[in-house]
Amino acid sequence: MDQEKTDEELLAEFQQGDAGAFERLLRRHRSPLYTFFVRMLGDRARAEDLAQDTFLRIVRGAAAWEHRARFQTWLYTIARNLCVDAVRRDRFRRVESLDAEDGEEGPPIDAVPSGSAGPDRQAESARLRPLLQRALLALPADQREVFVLREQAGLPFKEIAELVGANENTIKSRMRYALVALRKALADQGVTVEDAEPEPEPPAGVRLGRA
Amino acid sequence: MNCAESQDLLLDLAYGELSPARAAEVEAHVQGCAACRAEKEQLQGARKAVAPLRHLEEPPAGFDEPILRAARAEAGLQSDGTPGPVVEVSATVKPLGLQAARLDPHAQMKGLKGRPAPRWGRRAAAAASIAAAAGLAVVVTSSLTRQRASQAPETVAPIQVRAPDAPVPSSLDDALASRKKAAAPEEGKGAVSPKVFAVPPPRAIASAPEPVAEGPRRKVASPPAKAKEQADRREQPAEPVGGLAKEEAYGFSQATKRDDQMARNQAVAPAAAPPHGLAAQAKPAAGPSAASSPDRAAEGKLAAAPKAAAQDPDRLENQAGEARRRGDYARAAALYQDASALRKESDPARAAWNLVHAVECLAAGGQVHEAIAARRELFRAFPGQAGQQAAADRALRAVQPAELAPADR
Repeated sequence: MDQEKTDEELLAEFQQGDAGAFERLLRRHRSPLYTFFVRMLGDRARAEDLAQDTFLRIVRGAAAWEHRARFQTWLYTIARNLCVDAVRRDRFRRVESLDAEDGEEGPPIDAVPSGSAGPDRQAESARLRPLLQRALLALPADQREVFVLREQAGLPFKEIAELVGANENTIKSRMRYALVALRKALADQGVTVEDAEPEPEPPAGVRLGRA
Repeated sequence: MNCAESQDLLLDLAYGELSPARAAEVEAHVQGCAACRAEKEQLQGARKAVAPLRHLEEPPAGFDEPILRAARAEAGLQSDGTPGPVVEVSATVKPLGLQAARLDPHAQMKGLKGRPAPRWGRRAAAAASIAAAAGLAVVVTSSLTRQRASQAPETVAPIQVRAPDAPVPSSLDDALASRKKAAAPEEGKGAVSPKVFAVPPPRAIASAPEPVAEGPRRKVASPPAKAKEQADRREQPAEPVGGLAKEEAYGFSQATKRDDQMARNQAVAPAAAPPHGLAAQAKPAAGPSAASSPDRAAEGKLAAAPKAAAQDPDRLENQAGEARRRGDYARAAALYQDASALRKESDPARAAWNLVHAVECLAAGGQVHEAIAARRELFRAFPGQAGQQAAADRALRAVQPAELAPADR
């Protein structure tokens, strides 16, 4: 029953004082949002901070929220702004933190096993993910954000265009650049596309908010 | 479809963003066009290559906790997630002038620092206040969201409530003098010490007809200290959403208690007519004859806008702010409206905000019909100011949750 409620319905219930509705929203979006920050920043600790910060802002802003845009767009608008700030703040530290990552706090980004893929595919995906993550972080930030918002958060190009403040054609050309660059990065490492088994699409819950 | 169109849509196709009909058109073109086919395969290959990045990462344990705590606090629940105790208010006496401070997000609050209470609480309090003025019984849970008026309201003769020793302004000078006096309410005999809420000074009669039936009966299971503790436990000071003033979290029971006290002290004479319309009851009166004076609002406006200041919208705005913080909502609204009219051409956005403030003040003062009229004016005069319109609607929904939408759109 609850599974069928849209994000917007849940938020409206939260506005009416139902904290449980917010909890369901959180469960639905916590992993995708956290992953968004991980992909964008390559740093788990900061991804956790910023994802929490995003949700806290949602909590505080909920009373004033009006159903003009989708919840997911609002969520990622906040997330993206936090990301832009973070990237700006330590443009120089970023590379360093990436290099240090494997030795630092928490498991490396790609060590979390996927629950849904078969063992071979899972291993293959886990093997390639560090390469891809590095290549992603080497992309210009404006391409990276479009890529992550489309590929991982699942936002349509039109909404990404609104969210980023650029026109849709610009967004799509950034996406093309990103795809080409990532594929080339794999090729440079001797990985062909045929080696790269597809990751299953994100679970249905991720897309529930879509109108 | 030509190649340019097709190339343009191949990315949408790859991500499933095209309608079935459109997708079929592109596919049809791709079948017969080697260049587009190559491009399509390129994109599909790239999507396959980056698939490992779609893997969802799990946030670490403990991720949800601060968020849920904040959400519960915002929803007015206790931090352990249980709904709070029930506060029951039944047929109690509530001079609306005192209640008003609670409806107004900008009203001056004293003695409490911390996060603003959720707006829902305010809305519920507003509804409770209005309902109480109408002689309805109200049950409010501590999340203050599920207010409902009893199906069988007791019919009670309204009374007039008068603050002791309140000067009744009969002229502009009087009105100004009483305003000055109001600025230092401590001096006034019989002034309520505003422990939590700023209350209007005892300068005039609150004419809200008060149902006095079997007297207050309520359970208040949440001692203020507990709520305070809960407020303190909240981790981060929040920016007030939408510029709201801070508001204490546990004022409901306290204010009710005080209101009762006030009413016991001040109830002087039962009025003849039973309540028949919210706005009529709710209008703050300017004098003993005010209840029968149709020009009350106009008088308030005259007194509020002396000619000396009448040309400077900034000054009017400041005065409006002062009046508002004193709880003199009728005057504040009039001043905001004047300021809005003066800067309508020069600064329409701010003029529209002035009107929003007027709507808020009128709503807070219980002048619901006037508030609706001010909102209508806002929509008429500033059709492009969506943010302001939304803000005015929020203010009105707080006091008029059901009627606004159908009646006034």
